Amino acid sequence: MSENRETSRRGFLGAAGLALGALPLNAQHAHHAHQAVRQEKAKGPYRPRFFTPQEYRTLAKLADLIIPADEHSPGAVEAGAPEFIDFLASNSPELAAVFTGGLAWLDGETKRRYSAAFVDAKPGDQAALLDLIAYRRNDTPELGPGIEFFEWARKLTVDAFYTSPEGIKDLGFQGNGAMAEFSVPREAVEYALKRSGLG
Amino acid sequence: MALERVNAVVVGSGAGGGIVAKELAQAGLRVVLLERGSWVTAYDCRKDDLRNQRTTVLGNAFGPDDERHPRVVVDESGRERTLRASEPGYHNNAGCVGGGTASYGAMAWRFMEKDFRMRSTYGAVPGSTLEDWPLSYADLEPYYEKAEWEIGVSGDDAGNVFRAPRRRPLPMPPLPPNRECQVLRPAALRLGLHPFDIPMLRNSVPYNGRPACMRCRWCVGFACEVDAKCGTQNTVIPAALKTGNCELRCDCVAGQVLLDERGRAAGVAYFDARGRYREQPADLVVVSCAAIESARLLLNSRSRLFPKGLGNRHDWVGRNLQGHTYPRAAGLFDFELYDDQGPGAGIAVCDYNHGNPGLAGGGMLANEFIRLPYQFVAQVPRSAGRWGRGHKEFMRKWYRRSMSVMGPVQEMPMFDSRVEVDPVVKDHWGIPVARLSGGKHPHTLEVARYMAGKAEAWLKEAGAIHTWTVVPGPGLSGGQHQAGTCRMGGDPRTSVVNRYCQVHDVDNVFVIDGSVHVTNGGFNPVLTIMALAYYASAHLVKTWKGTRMRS
Ligand SMILES: Cc1cc2nc3c(=O)[nH]c(=O)nc-3n(C[C@H](O)[C@H](O)[C@H](O)COP(=O)(O)OP(=O)(O)OC[C@H]3O[C@@H](n4cnc5c(N)ncnc54)[C@H](O)[C@@H]3O)c2cc1C
Ligand code: SF4
Repeated sequence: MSENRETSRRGFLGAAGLALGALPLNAQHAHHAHQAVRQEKAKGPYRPRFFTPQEYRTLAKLADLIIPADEHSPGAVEAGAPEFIDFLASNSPELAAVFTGGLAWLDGETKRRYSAAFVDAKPGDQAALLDLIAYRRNDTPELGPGIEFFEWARKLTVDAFYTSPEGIKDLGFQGNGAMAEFSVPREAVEYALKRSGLG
Repeated sequence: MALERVNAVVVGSGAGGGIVAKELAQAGLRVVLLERGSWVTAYDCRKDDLRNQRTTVLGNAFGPDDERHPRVVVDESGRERTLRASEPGYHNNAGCVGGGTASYGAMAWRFMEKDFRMRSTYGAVPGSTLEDWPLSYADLEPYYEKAEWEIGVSGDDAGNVFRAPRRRPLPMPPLPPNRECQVLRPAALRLGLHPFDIPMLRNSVPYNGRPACMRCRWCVGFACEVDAKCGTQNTVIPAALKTGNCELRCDCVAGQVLLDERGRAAGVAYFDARGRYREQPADLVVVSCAAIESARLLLNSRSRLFPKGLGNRHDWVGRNLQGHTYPRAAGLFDFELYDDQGPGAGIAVCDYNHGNPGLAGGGMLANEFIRLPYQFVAQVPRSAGRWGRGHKEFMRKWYRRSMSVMGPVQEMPMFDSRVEVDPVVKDHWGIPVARLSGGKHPHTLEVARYMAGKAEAWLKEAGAIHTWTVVPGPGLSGGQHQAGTCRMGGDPRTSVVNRYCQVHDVDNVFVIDGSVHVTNGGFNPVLTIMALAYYASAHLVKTWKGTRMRS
């Protein structure tokens, strides 16, 4: 495991700004990230590899707001989204910069508006701010960085959740499980034979 | 150390290059096939959700890599950015043995007769370089057939009353319809449309020594672990290697076509897997790097006789970059459509490819390949919110009860949508990178809006209780369906290659890939690229005289 991490970390040098949708994470896989997180958690309470405790608490709060647990299913926090993002950030200076910058912006903005850090703000205030930065139509020079950051936070939270067992189960979606054998469904063969004029 | 001279260097082992290499090798030419990427297998790509050729959050599984292949892209507002290969807006196709065919969705479309005669059919479109091809559907028909039988296509287009004449049916029957197809077919018939089973480069029955598709759903953007998806990497490239006349060199990046003092190609300069500069002498050079990189290679091949790049005397290399504009409609249903049956897309109509009132061209419409959940999130309507309980509930309620219909709109080519080489930015090997700029023609967007409406009507007829449409913006096209940058034509002043894909000014250089498309059809382009590769190879072999072309 740790060898893989070393290799991938070495690969990320160079490169400028980071556009949404692309992490400079060659040699990195979603399954790999989930698995690494699971292994780490099996050893005991998760200790963030990259974020400070305050950043990590904010990140977890955000993930919880974006995909909350409800009466049907666990949310992004239970599904390991904060750990997933922490793991990726620990492997990518660019992504790390996006999140440290973004989390600082979030805390700064909630302090300015509501005189509290994001995690300590009232739920209504947290929601009001997210509703502002969740939509491009609210773009202003002042909110721009927050909107940019929310895109990233939402994207990675959603990606983490819907590639996790919890998220896959929530949809009643089969997921991309490992297959024990590779076989062609019987109906497909029969159908094809019928259509071929041979059957 | 000089490398031994060969008859032909083919640069790029994708759809076009793979076929040319095999045809030339079988005809007895000694061929070197250069590929900048590696031979990627299903094992390497591991079908990772976030790292494949469609969802590239964690990088391109089928290349090129992020570290060594930057590109410069200029957007509509003139803002210039240097992008990594997996970033949106880079306009990537692929970088591995097989090119796009190793991971594609594998729709196998023949263009229609009118697609080769867009200018005569619709007249000039102001602001567009719309033109006829210098060859017709009939010229390509035997080669479409060859591609269908050699590479392998399943499907049944008998229900497509608009299709151009074919001599031979497809070699394999279609896969069984998934639930979406079962719902869409009767709806299309009720609307008076003509639905049929999409031709696909995918084995529905064992064919060519490889097994049938097991319908795994992780198909478009991934490699097939049972090799049921047919690309050049599991058909013609192995056949080329088997002749003993073709050597495939992976991880080799071509930087320049070398020219002699008389202005003819002398070979190709490249960097090998260990980063060493090499020169491969050859009697002829085939450029098959896909539309963006082929133009870049020609533009980077400057000499005294071609100061603006090889074949670029009249400034047409890199022009007319196009792809497809994909309008789509999404619908929510009060019954389940999800049945986990890959590859997903299966049904199409060609009722709107031509003959749309007041419009030039159109496109086919089909159901979507796959919408993995994290992809579906991007389509959640704004009313559901972008975070929180409502958003999560929307996903839970509708993911399995939704589908999309979409189609590739034939674009009006634009002279100013183009590939240049960047004056400053260089790649890992010091080669100037591609610089992309331009946008879509307004008429393309008009057609796209019309098509979105047709797609939406189909979903409504199928029983959708809520629908919405998405039409792309005016930004540059290209991407996976990139084409057009080395246009073929009869007049050397307004095209780059002749009807046999031979560069007008230099008879021993050929461009054989999507670059030569004059227009890109209202269909995914790969089967046309394959047919052209067989067609151009046949002519090349016929005119080949030992070490040079017969003139
Ligand atoms: C996910 C996905 C889905 C798709 N689905 C479909 C579909 O359903 N139907 C369809 O018709 N099309 C589809 N396509 C598009 C199709 O793959 C392309 O149209 C086709 O592969 C283009 O063929 P080409 O020969 O022009 O280029 P490519 O197949 O891209 O091959 C070009 C090759 O050249 C190599 N190369 C480039 N530069 C250099 C250099 N300097 N030196 C050495 N090698 C170089 C590249 O690495 C690449 O392997 C899809 C593509 C993708 C990625
Ligand atoms: S859907 Fe079929 S062809 Fe595609 S990857 Fe799965 S088994 Fe292979």
